[in-house]
Amino acid sequence: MNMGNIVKNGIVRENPVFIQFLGMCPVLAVTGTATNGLGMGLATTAVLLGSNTVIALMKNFIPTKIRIPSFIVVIATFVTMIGMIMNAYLPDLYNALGIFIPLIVVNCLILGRAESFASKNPTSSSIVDGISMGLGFTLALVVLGGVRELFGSGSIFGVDLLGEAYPAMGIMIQPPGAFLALGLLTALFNVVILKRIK
Amino acid sequence: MREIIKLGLILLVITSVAGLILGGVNSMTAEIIEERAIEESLEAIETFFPDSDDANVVDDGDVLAYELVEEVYEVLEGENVIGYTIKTVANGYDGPIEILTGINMDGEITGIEILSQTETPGLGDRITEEDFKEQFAGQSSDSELEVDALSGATVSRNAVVNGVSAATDVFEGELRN
Amino acid sequence: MLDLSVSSLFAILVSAILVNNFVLSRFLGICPFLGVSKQVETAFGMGMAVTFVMSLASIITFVVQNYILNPLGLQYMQTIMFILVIASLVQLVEMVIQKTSPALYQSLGVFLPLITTNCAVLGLTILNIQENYNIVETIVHAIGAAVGFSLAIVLFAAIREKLEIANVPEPFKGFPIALLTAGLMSLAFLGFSGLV
Repeated sequence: MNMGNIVKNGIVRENPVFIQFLGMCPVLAVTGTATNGLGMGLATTAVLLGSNTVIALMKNFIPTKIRIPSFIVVIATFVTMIGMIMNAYLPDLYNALGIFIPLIVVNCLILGRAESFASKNPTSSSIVDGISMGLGFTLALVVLGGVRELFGSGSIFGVDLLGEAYPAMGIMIQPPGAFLALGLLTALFNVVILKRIK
Repeated sequence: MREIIKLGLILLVITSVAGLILGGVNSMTAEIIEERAIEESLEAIETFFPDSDDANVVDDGDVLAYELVEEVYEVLEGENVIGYTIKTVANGYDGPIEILTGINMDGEITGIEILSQTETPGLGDRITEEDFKEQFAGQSSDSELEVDALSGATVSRNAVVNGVSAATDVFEGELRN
Repeated sequence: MLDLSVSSLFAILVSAILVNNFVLSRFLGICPFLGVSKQVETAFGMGMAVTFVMSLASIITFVVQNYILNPLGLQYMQTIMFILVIASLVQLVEMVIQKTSPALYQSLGVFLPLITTNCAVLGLTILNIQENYNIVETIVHAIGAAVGFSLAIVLFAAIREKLEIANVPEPFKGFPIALLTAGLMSLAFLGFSGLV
């Protein structure tokens, strides 16, 4: 497969969040601010890159029958490693993301890419696939986090944009706001795509 | 049966390799994490007690048996104990909140610091703002705490108040002499 | 020191079901919540399968953490061990049900493989350890989490059955309207906050 296509697939055509609806738990849970969304997106990208690379390298040594548990162990190892590194060097982000760091293990996006791409393709394209899918995921998280933070606290990435006079819609950064914002954004995404098809 | 054992062994090998790698990363990061935790506590001690020279961990079972209490330091100026800092962990709206409370020997709260929390951004996390934390300083450890309400963040506010009360309880019960 | 006061156990239970509902306020188990909720019957089946796995997984991971990982100082292996426990448990349960009760297998079988990657199960086991629950609290918390999950998914399925026959604007069809519905449910559950 052509590398350019893999990149386009990951970021737009098969966007993990807006098209495939994968890994919804962190998408909804940590997008109260754009910063947290970006942090979670990059952590997931790092795990995805690591697991895709190792699984593509090991694909001939892993017996088919224990494929899934082996993939899960590889993924869990990367997740734990990223968690430790974040705890050491980015403690604030580590605390903000909390339990959703270990839960990257069960992000269906990562196991999905291991099973449907890395275990069938050469290492080089698996690496590109990991990065593109990761960036597609990160992009969605930042957009959602940005929208929620803007309406909910009047700022983006902690930078106050709307000033004191803006009556912050606190609900947007609470749990219901996550569902509502993502619902409206996917509808918007649909409108844009539907228009293009017609 | 043989095949199952073989597959099991392969999985065991993969897991062991994973374990070894993680053990390595852990030994590298654990130290940094621990150092930072100590540093944070010491920094807070400095601001609570500007005259302090040194601080020692209080390793007393009776003290640590108090509810919510995690860690206690006695703060020294020369040879004299001038106060205590008490780390408590209270349950917030969305997970544990780590609070450090400084109390001097007169039973006056010298300050509080939120060491870690995962409250809702924009609502519950206002407990980390100076305006909120400043209210505790100067209050007495043997009377009920008086703290303003935080609209939309009642659970988080109450958690901090509980944490600080737990600190004053242990101070009154065990540390004040 | 086993704290068995009824009131604290009740608080854990109510908190897990209503106040910190696993799906609607903690965002755990969103994939099956959105994916397996088109009909009340299948939603109920999923709820039961999750309840079963959650209870067993909580007990086993409690033992693994307190009698293997903690004594050996291997806390950093938590994620790997827990997910392996859950994956093998799911496999085992699937085999046992298949052999012993074909009827039950018919109704629950299809959901079981999905549970391994259900973050509500792994999330629950990690929360149990984080909150320092003893074995009784762990079991109560597991039951609360499972009931909370089942309650949310069954209610949601009931609403979605009605939505099927509603006239939804084109761009909102499918996921967007489901997400908005979930948002309104979450808003309703927000009313429980401060209850415990």
